[in-house]
Amino acid sequence: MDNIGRNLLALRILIIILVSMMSILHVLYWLYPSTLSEVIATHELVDQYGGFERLDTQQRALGFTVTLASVALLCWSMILIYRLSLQIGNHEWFSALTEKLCLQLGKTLFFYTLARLMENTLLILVLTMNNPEGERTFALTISSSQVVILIPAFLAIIAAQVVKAGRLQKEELQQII
Amino acid sequence: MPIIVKLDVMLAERKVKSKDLASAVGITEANLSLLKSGKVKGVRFATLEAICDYLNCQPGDILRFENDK
Repeated sequence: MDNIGRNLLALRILIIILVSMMSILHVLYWLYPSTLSEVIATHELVDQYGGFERLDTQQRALGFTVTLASVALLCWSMILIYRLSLQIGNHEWFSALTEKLCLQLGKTLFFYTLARLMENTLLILVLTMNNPEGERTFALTISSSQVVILIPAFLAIIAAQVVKAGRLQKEELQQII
Repeated sequence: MPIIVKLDVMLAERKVKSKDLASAVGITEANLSLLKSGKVKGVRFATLEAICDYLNCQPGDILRFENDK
């Protein structure tokens, strides 16, 4: 196995660990917040709005659902990178599958950015939904850390176009005897 | 396509089998068949050279330009 092969294998193992941890910790975070609060970094917003203790089951279920979208999209983008690493490992740089995976990765990261933008707004709504009238909050937040994901998203979409151009040239070359 | 491949005519004239030509040129019979039917985007000079050498002919004997208009 060459250097690239070893690095790709390490990347795939890292992705498996990250995806497993992200999904397990997300579930545990909302199911057992008090027992895991010292292990997992608590959600700032939950702390700002009174902590987990004051949330009822419905709020926890909704909170879990609202934050699930971004975690799921992040896990899916990791899986796409995993599949891309397999393609690269097989030297399938300019194939239709590589193009499709790059495009899907770009779109997933774009939707991840949207999900992150909406997450705080929806989470604040959920956290304050049981408050008395006048104390419920609707907040729109936007930060550079949320928007910066658009850069790799667009890069992945551009990479898909490059792969497409390469694939078309490769196919044309195969038709030259 | 205005470029007509007349390889099958040359093969018949020279009494050469496609299999032998493919083997001599170093391409597959499937590719030679595509070339004969004109279903290719292009021919490498190296391939053309090998075909002409084996059939003892000129490129013009294999390819012909016919204007569609």
